[in-house]
Amino acid sequence: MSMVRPEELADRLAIIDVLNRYARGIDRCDLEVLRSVWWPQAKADYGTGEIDALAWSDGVVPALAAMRRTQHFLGNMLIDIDGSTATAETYCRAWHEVDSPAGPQEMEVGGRYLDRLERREGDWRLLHRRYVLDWSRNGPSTAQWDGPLYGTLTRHGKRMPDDPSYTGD
Amino acid sequence: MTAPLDPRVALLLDKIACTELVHRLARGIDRCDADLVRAVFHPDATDDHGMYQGTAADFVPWVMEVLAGMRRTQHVIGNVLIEVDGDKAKGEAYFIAHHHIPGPDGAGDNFMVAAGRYLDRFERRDGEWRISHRHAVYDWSTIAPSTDMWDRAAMPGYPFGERGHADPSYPHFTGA
Amino acid sequence: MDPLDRLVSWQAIYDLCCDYMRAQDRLDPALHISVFHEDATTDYGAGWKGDAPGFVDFAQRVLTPHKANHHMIGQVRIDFESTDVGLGEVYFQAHHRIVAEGGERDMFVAGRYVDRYERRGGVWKIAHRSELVDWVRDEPAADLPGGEAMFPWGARAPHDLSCRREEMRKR
Repeated sequence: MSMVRPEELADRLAIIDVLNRYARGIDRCDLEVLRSVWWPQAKADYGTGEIDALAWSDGVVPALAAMRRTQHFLGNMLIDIDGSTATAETYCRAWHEVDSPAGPQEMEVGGRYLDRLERREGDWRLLHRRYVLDWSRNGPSTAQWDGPLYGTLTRHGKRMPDDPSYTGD
Repeated sequence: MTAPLDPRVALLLDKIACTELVHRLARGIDRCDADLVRAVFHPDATDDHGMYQGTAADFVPWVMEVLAGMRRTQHVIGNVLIEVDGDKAKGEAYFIAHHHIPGPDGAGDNFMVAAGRYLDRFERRDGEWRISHRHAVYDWSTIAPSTDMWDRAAMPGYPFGERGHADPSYPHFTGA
Repeated sequence: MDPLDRLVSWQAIYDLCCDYMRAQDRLDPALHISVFHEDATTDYGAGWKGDAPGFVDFAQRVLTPHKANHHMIGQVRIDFESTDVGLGEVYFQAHHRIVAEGGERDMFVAGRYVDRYERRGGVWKIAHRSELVDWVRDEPAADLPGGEAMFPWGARAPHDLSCRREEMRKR
């Protein structure tokens, strides 16, 4: 892990943008955004073996849409750039609310994305993504949407195309 | 001599260098990598975690012993605000730290979350930024029986985070 | 947009977002208002919709009775529409320690700020901020036993260590 060189600044920001767009594609169930982070031959491995990342994206969006909502909160990003390739580790605190026969359940998962990225014609995208799981917290949802504090926060996150980040509401 | 950097670029590089030190220290702690933790501090750096106050050199074995009593940790870093003043800088970095801790007397694991901010002082010496003082300030915490639902023993091939060089991030960064 | 200008602008806006959170956690209304343009608009749902001074009054009033707050920023994604206008999405997870009847509680609100930033006179500030909520959680406080004595705890300005500059220079 080396210090950042001046000429890498723009590459670094472009890579951060790719990492962030992945989370946005997932959380908004926006397949177009999610597909835009991968090169055509990109592979992903979420623990069950290496799979085609674009095909995985096509399948994961309906699965995510079946959940009530998700938030993939990205923290630490360690990015090593070597010419037109890069290696990165990104911490993620992912929150999911899902329906179950016993009522809504919360699943919170801590982990890391281990990525290889490549720049082609000025465009950075993921070539390989591996997910590493560090912890999870599971239980009945304690979500509250009313009361003295929550009741005032009436604008809620939604999926594409209803989220206010699309509608501008 | 190379041409001096545009001061705007220089400031960005300084902020990124300090931010990276915060991220590398979190990585060193989570992987229990004493060398990585040591490498982010200047030789005469100091650390104040409340229950530990002293030199960074002595902080390393202390924190490794604390970590040895836990199963695993994840220190997620959020907002990192850096103010640069020449060869010195100050930082405030938000964190949420997650700890899996064995329960007392063979009881199930506890999941402890502690969140706060790292107030760091950075110094550039011989062109290299490192931490000269770290002060951890805590803002909230919670502890509850673990609800982790993955049985690691039953899932040997699954990529769980590990301490030390067994973690997949080591071959990942070295290109193996 | 010149690539270097884009980088510098991104960092300036990121720092604004950090200052905004810091102002909420340390209860610093002067810092809070400083991140907004004078004619900025804000939208926090039923609690507040309107100008920035009104928002700062509202937020500081809501947060002050809490025992502690921790507003954490995650990913910051900014699309620059032009050299002086950017549209942003900023993930956050906020903790509020509330003193309620029947004991202390931890209330978590997580979501995103959807923002418009404008550069005027060379200075980037927030021209509009909407807060979206993605998840909330409310649970009884469950502090680590003995934690009060074990850790140095955060406080509001001017008592928080981060505000005690003279002390920090010598520590």
